[in-house]
Amino acid sequence: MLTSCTNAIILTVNGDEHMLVVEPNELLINVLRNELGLTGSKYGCGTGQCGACTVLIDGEPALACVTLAVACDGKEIVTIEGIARPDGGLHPIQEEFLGENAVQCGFCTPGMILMAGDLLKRNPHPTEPEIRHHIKGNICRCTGYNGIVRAIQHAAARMAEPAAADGPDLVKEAR
Amino acid sequence: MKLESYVRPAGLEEALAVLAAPGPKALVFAGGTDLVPMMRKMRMNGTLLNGDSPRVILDLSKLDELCGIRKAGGMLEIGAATTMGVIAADPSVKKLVPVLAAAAASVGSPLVRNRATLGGNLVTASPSADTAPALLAAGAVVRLAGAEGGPRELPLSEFFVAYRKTALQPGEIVTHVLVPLAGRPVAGRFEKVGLRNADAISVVCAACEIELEGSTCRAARIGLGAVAAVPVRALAVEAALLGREITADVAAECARLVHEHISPIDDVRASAQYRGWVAEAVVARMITDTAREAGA
Amino acid sequence: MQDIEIKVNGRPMRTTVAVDETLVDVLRQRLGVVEVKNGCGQGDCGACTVLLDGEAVNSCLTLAVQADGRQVTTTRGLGTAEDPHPLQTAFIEHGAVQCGFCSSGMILSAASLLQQNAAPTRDEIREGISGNLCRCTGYTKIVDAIDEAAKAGSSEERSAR
Repeated sequence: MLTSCTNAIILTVNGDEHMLVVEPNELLINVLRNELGLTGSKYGCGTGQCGACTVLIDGEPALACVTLAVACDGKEIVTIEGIARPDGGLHPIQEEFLGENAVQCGFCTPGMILMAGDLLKRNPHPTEPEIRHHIKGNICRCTGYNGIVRAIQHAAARMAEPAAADGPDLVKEAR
Repeated sequence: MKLESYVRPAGLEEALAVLAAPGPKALVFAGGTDLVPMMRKMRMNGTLLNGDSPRVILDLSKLDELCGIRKAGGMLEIGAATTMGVIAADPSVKKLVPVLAAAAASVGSPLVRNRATLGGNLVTASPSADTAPALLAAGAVVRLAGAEGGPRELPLSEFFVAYRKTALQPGEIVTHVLVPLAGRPVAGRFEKVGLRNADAISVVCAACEIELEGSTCRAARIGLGAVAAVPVRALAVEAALLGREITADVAAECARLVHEHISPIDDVRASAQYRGWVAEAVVARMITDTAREAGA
Repeated sequence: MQDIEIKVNGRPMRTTVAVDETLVDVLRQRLGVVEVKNGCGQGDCGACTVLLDGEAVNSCLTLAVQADGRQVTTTRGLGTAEDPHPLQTAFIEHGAVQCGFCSSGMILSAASLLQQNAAPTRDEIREGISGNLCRCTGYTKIVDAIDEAAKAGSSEERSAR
């Protein structure tokens, strides 16, 4: 049995502030999915090996299945639900994933897209090996990765264009 | 509002009393295959799809009175809490109402069929409920019960009143589904078009039963799902078939009338136009195949 | 909240649950039974398959309160590393496991199938596991493994007679 000790925390998720009471051993992924209904982030291996639960915490990618919710008190979280444009349109990376059929079962997609966004923020012109290196903590069992790599390459090209001010930066979104 | 308690009544009477009791509303629960995902959403926003905020889970899945299949009063009587798996494998359903056996076998997957119930499939009143067109084709009747007054029976075609709305009054539940046995077995077909074999929500599902006299159509009933706000009978097609000798050409001609009864929509699974094409094609094929079986 | 007792692989386990908590969440989060996987959470993928009183069900579509007083069997209840079930052995020998996320549910669906139909055809095997998604193997090796376990099982039965 768990102890009855609970903690009140404040999480800002995709810009919305939530006051929550959580058990000390509750995982961020379960709070996001079960308490806030944000089921975009997936619960995969539960041991930090598959990347399906990837979210941004204060702008940095993190594995929500090995992160305690209490440890995120006062922090800003961005999930896949939070990266669309203000008008509800898809983020360029999302559009390119669709265009390249980089989505099959979809289980890895939210984590994969957040990692791609993180890469392009750090390195707007990545080489293919750099792309593969950056997403190597995110496992996909459907696509064979080629479509995913192409989608990220196309998104990089699009977002590097000066006119691409329409592509919201993932970190800016987190602020 | 949260679900706070769980009640497993010992009998139908107790179940109806719980539903009739004043105070917090009860959520009628059986297989849970639709309700459990909805309950997860309810945890977030406090209400179900229909706006209700029930507080009590009333689990009917183990009520003996609502489980099982028997012949009574010229009807095949199927308890509303009978699972799809039991119905699909039942020898008398397979022999006497094969359209229903086929429809039940097409629902979800073996895992889902071990829990999903016939009553649940009808009460959620989803336009794409797979057993609905089969039961419409079979001329089924539903028996409803509430704490007040005796049970009442209603043709299934009058049970679905609007999108996800049924004729159930507050405090009432579906207890049985009845299929008239006179003249059975009848030749029939059930067809489901989905995006995959298992766990598919129908793009179109349809069923028909045809009785022939010689080679002339004496009676036809056609049910369709996922092409209108509720499961519908294709009455114009049925009427056009009466008295005709059924050939593939006649079937195709009559099937064109299906559009009088359907108003499909675009959604993530298919476009309205595609649903219309599929409905017509499936109905034509079912009529031809069923008539061939009836004639043989 | 409600107190429940579930017999998991023969061992009684007690806990207190909210009435709307699903069996998969209670097994994994409260009882530590993590061989049951939480995939889609809505009955589409079969990763959460368990046997409830011997019947294969999606534990993500089952309320934990419904399992009160009942038996839950997981893949660990079928066999262990030291003493594996013939299906588990066949899955390993045929390379029917890659990432492993579906394996637990797949093996339980297969066990449930073989209980009802000791000598299934390959089509019947495919139908029997149609509620269990695998994104790695392409299914062929899984069907091979179940086919072989079925044949080994039925020949065992024959020799036992």
